[in-house]
Amino acid sequence: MSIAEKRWAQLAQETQFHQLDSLRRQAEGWRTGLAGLTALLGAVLIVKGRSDISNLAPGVRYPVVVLLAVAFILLVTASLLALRAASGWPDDEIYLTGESLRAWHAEESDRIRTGIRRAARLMVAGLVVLAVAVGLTWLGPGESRAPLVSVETAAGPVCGELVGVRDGHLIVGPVKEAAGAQPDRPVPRLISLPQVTRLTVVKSC
Amino acid sequence: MTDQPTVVTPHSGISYTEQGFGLLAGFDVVLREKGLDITGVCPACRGRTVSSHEIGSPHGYKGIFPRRRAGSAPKPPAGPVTVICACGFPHAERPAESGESGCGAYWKVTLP
Repeated sequence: MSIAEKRWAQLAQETQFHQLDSLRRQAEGWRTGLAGLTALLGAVLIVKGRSDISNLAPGVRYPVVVLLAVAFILLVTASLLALRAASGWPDDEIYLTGESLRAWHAEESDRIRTGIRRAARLMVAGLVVLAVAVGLTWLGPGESRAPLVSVETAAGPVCGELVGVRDGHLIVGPVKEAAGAQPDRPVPRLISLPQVTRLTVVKSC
Repeated sequence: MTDQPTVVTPHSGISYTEQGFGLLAGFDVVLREKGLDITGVCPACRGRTVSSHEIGSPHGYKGIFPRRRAGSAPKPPAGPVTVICACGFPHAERPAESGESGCGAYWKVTLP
């Protein structure tokens, strides 16, 4: 019988008398970590490149939103893994004997090693995804800025993008927002200028 | 409860010695809801000793996100448990910082 077994038994005995101190330290660690998770959301949204994602073309806008969400999930998971490794999981309970404490120490050491390794990988992956999202917001095509107009004619109202005026005709393009209602191959409408009774710039058709 | 240790056999005032005795029989083990108690006579100083092992967090933390359902407490250790003499008698040469309350002897007890 080795003296180490007695030392583990002594450590288990001492642990019974220091539960409250350890509780406070662990709670502080979790408090700091959870506050960091809240800040993480703000950081992801700030480091997103353009100030307004809605200015992006729809083909880029939605992939950017998905990438930001994936980056956030990866970074949150990495932070929780690192937090669990640093402060321990609050649910652990054992019989405080030397043998149980010794076995728990060995298992916990493995869990910490694995957790830190996974946290580092997830953090790098999250940052890469975030960088791709930021790059897309900077380099991706912006949405068309052509103004939408509502044109009233003798034949009825027409709404769409104002393309221009040529050869006595007002050219009104298809409305992008109402893509579902458009024909398969939308074409610009030509409206003879004398037919136009009123033209109003609108925000949507 | 008295501060005086209960003597069931003539206690020997031997000097503090960290002596291991291996696996011993003849100890009472009581499983409680929150831990277990091992009671018996120290093989070195012959003082009656009670070793209590509570159920607790190895971190010393009770938890704010309890995943474990009520009634699913950890199982008692499967193998023998190390017990340290806690006879309560003063023993010469016991380090003041040791935190022990016995003669320094230790042994193992198999749980039922």
